[in-house]
Amino acid sequence: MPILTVENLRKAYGPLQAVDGASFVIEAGEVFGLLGPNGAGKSTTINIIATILNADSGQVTVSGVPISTSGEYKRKIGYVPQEISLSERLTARENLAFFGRLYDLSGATLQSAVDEMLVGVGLVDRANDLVQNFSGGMKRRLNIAASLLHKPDLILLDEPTAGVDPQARAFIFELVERLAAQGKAILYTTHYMEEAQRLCKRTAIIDHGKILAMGTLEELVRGVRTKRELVIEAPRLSNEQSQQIAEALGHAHWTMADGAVRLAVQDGAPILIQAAKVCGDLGINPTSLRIAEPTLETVFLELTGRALRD
Amino acid sequence: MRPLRIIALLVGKDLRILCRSKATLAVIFIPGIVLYTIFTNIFSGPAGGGVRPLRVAVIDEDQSTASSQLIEALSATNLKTILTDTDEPGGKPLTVEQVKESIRRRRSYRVGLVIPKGYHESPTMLMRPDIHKGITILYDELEPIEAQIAGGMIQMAAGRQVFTSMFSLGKSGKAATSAPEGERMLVKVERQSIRSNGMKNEAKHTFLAGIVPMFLLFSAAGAARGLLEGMKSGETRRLLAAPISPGHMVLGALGNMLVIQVVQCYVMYIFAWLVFHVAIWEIAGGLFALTLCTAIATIGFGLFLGAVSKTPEQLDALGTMVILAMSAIGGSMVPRHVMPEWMKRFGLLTINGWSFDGFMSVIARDEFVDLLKPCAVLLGVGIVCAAMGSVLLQRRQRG
Repeated sequence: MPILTVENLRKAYGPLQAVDGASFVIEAGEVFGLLGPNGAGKSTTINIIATILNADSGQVTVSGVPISTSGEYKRKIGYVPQEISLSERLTARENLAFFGRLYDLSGATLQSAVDEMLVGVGLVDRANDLVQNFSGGMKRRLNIAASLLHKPDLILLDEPTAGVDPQARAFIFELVERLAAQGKAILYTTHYMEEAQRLCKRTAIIDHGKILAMGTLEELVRGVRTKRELVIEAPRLSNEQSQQIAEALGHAHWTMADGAVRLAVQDGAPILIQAAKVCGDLGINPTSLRIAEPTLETVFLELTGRALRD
Repeated sequence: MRPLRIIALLVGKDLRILCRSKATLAVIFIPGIVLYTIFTNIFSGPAGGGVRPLRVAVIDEDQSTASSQLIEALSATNLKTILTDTDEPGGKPLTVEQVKESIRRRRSYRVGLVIPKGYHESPTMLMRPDIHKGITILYDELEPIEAQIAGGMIQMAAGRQVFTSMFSLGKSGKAATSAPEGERMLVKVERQSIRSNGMKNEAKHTFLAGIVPMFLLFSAAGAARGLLEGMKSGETRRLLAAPISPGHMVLGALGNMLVIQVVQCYVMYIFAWLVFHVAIWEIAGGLFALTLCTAIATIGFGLFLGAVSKTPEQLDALGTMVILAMSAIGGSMVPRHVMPEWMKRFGLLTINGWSFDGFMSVIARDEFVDLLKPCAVLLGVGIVCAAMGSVLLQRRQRG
């Protein structure tokens, strides 16, 4: 069942087209990734869906309700901003109660929603501590919890792991997976490939406001020219040696990065054996010989001509 | 030599950075120039102008040659005498009641002179001190300086009058009776306040009247800075995504500021009551109304300043400049009653000016209707500024 439908969304800031005709659908229980570098248009897209920004044109519906600043629409979304937007001088419980009241929760309903969230993000023991004494990861978890109290259909997570330690990141991943399992639709923006690969059922790659490609990882990889690569790492590998390896293996094109030579290949195991023999013949002692499967990074590089963090 | 080169290098770098920050440059140089211009104008008249004549109403009950000569002599000093109820020829002579009312309402003059009947019998103390009838100065205790100036001018005019009389009497003239011992005045001057129940214009009142709006303006600019920082931090975005209207958000923020500002004022009032014995409880109603209106005006203005500033840093620069200038013109640094007339009028373009006048009305225990005008203006300024600021901020936030 589609929860979020975005059609031909556009937003410009003067001559800069921040979002350029974005269209996508997110189903219930799906984590949908919006992957792109800083300034690609991810946050602008999420801010439009959250009614924080007005779109220039386009349609957005959440659970069948068209976008508006009405309470009916806003109650269907839970927006988690990129920054920690909690009151440092309030306790975790007080912060959650404040956000719960914004969504008209009160009395026992509010109490039970707050308790449920504190359990959900593992902060029951710290419920009555001031947020200013929390670690970055704890604040991130509470930041997410504050947007879930009213049980929204759609959760908008704007780079929720920015600046957190690996342990906290793992907790957030687990939480996102749990929410998806509960049937929530999740729009997850990130510029970390591994997050999109790990969490998202489908991913849209966005750059300069345009969605360049969209689909599951398999679909995206299938759509690019770059296939698997043979990677040979060896100490003090020169360009001349790399050229010799490539010629011996019948390849005209090769790249070299971080002391490794890379060649696009079709098959797996046979080429490895052949490469090992060529290296022996040329007097090169490789430290690593492997086949690298294409990733989102490969897809992004090919689609945009640059690495994600450039 | 190297340490000097390093120091010069560091200084050069900082200066280069400074020169590239227009806002910082503005904060460094402009407030000083603005304040200097304002204070120079307060104490010496507009740039290029001469000394301002003091406007004084004169009620000539004597209608004698002597009284006319005195009026003429007064006009020869730096007083502009007003004798009739209109500036046109043929106006009716002023009455004491008319003059008192005009002074109370702070119209075109702040001082009135009453030349009593029988003044001509002994215009100065040098002649017949026993029958000498002095001159009464009608003035407002809230604005005492002009009465003091007028008193000095009367003595100067009387001296000139005596000199002229002696010259015209020549050698045959009668010698003037010597002034009574210990009496140095040529003319007895009695100062009469137009107020019967108000408090006096003391520093403890004028500075409280001046400091309150300036303090509130800085406080409001600080709150507006918090609002801008909130917009940057995501707090505002999260609230905008929640089912509350932007109007509620703005009103919530304004309400919070209002409570804080009123409490801030009352802490100051209670301090003034405890330490300087300012009788705040006797004027509690008017004081509360004025405090509320001043707080609304400053909060609205602060929000507007925040809305027209792109960054918190820009707000700091703009806010400091505007508030200091408004405070200087509006009586927060120099009491309004020592300012030239044109600057008093100019001061009414500021929140400080209206708040100052309102406060002085409260102190003077003017009628309620006298407080209505400053309160209405302050309230209006606050509402208009808050509405404009709110619209601008929403427009900016929503792109």
